[in-house]
Amino acid sequence: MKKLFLPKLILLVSSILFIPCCEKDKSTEPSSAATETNAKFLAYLEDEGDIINNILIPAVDAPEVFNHLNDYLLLDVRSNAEYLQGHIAGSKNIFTDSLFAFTKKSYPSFSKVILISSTGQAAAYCTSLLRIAGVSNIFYLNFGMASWNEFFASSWLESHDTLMGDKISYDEPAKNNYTPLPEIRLSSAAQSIKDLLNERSNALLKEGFEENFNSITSKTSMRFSTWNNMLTKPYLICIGPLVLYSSNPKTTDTYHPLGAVYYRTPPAVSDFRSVTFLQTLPSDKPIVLYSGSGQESAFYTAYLRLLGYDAKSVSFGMNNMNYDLLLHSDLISIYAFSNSVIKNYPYVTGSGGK
Amino acid sequence: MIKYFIFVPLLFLSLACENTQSIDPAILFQEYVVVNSELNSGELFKGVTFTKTLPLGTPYDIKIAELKNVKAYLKINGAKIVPLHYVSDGVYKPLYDGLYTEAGETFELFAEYGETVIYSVTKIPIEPELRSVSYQAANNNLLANVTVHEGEVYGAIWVLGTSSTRAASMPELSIPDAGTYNINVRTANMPEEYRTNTYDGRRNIQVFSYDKQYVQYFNSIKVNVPIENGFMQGGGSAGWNVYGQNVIGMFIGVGKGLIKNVN
Repeated sequence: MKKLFLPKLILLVSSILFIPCCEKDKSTEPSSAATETNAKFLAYLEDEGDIINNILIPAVDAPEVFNHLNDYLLLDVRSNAEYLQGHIAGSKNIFTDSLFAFTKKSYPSFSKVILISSTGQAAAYCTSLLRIAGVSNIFYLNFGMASWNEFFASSWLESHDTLMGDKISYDEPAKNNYTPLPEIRLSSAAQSIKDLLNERSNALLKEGFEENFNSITSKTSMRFSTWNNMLTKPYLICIGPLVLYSSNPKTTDTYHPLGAVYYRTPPAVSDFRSVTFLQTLPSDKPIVLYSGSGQESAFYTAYLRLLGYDAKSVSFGMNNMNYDLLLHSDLISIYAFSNSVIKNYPYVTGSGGK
Repeated sequence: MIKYFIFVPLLFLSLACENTQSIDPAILFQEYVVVNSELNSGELFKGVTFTKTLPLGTPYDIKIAELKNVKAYLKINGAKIVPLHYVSDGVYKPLYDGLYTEAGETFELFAEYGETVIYSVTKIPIEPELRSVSYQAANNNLLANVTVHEGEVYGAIWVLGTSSTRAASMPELSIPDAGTYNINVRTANMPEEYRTNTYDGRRNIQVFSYDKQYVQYFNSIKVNVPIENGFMQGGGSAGWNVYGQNVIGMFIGVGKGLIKNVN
């Protein structure tokens, strides 16, 4: 017994001596200091100028493009079949999955790069992603090919409606409470936040923006009628001038779709800034944005999807929801697609490009 | 048996002393990252300052001490993320103005400086609610009875007239016991010269509420007084509430009461 006791005692004493020597001082270890990728991502976007919250929608009208055909690089992002049916002379047909790499190159002989889609909405979406990724001279053709020639205008003309009907509200609902940013992670390929931005921008461009507006499966857009018929409605927000949300200039009544919440965008102080109301957008349910023409909402939808939100844009915006309202106010008539927008400029068919 | 006496302790001692380093006098100075932010209830967020300590004897120069490459952001109430960006002199602020620190909100600070990970958290206290104030002639100090709120401690300074130049520089701290609804908060004793009738009607009290984490810092600098200004050079043994390897500083919520006339 005594034989066993002595070695045990030695071991015990030695262990007691050993443990304090080796234990690291943990008093200065942060308890929950693991910084989050989504926060770093947001910080990086702000470091790079917080483009989306500081610029006006970068749209150019058809006359400007027509007058600068030799100065502007025109990139037509429609399908090859649509392109072959008719396109602007000199434009290059490029698919969104190769747009990122293409526009990241420098084109010093062109003062602007113009993205062209059928209605302008897909091009606005892609322009947003490329602007955020650092392509500073990129714009989109306002109202797309529909403004170039009536041959391409059917989608817009057929969009005119007053679907908002009587399902309206005169009250302004409060914004959501603040919720955490959507979770995003660094992939094995992305070693830095800059890599992550490029990777996410590229992935969203490849995913594209659905301009077949009858599709009910689109990740990026939604018809207002679809939203209207949903039992559990996504968080609906209006962007653009306040009059679009809250005023009927004819009657001075204020109304908007029931439950819709208003978010300011530039030139006003943007409600998508980190210090304002960005995180009142729910990260756990879909968000649907509407605007005057659907192009503006597509532009901001891209930004929100980049941040990880499940955001969609209402196709054609108020043109489809309450076309009459657009026509009755000079402040918002710029969003209405009317015959005066169609310029009937020449186009070419078949293949060809710059 | 004797081999146990020799071998086992030697084995443990050799393992235990594996990390022991001899001290080179040339590297005695330990640089600390210094974080400093006072978040005042109901006021615009003024930013966080990130600096480094300088060796003793080096004249303090903010241009040398400031840190320009910190990645930092705030998380408010566990959700709202507000990135912080370098402005000047080590100060980091949100990209835009408009962030207010409201009573009851929890502010967390997350930052990275090189390999150093920094974290702190504070709750913004409610501005002190004074139930009564009085002049204590016996000690020539001022007293306020203050409503107690969970997680807060209180301090008070005396202010003569409206001049902040004639005021106590450091509040006396009062720590409420659990379950109490109000507490007497005293100022330090005023200098005897202010006892005379000449100063009647000009003795004011200002009460502050602090996140209770302030107590440890307050006690350490009040009792130990390790160095003149812990935020600038050294670090000493103050009870900081900012965490990280070789990181010191305070990131603390403060509620400033109005200056109230007592007598």
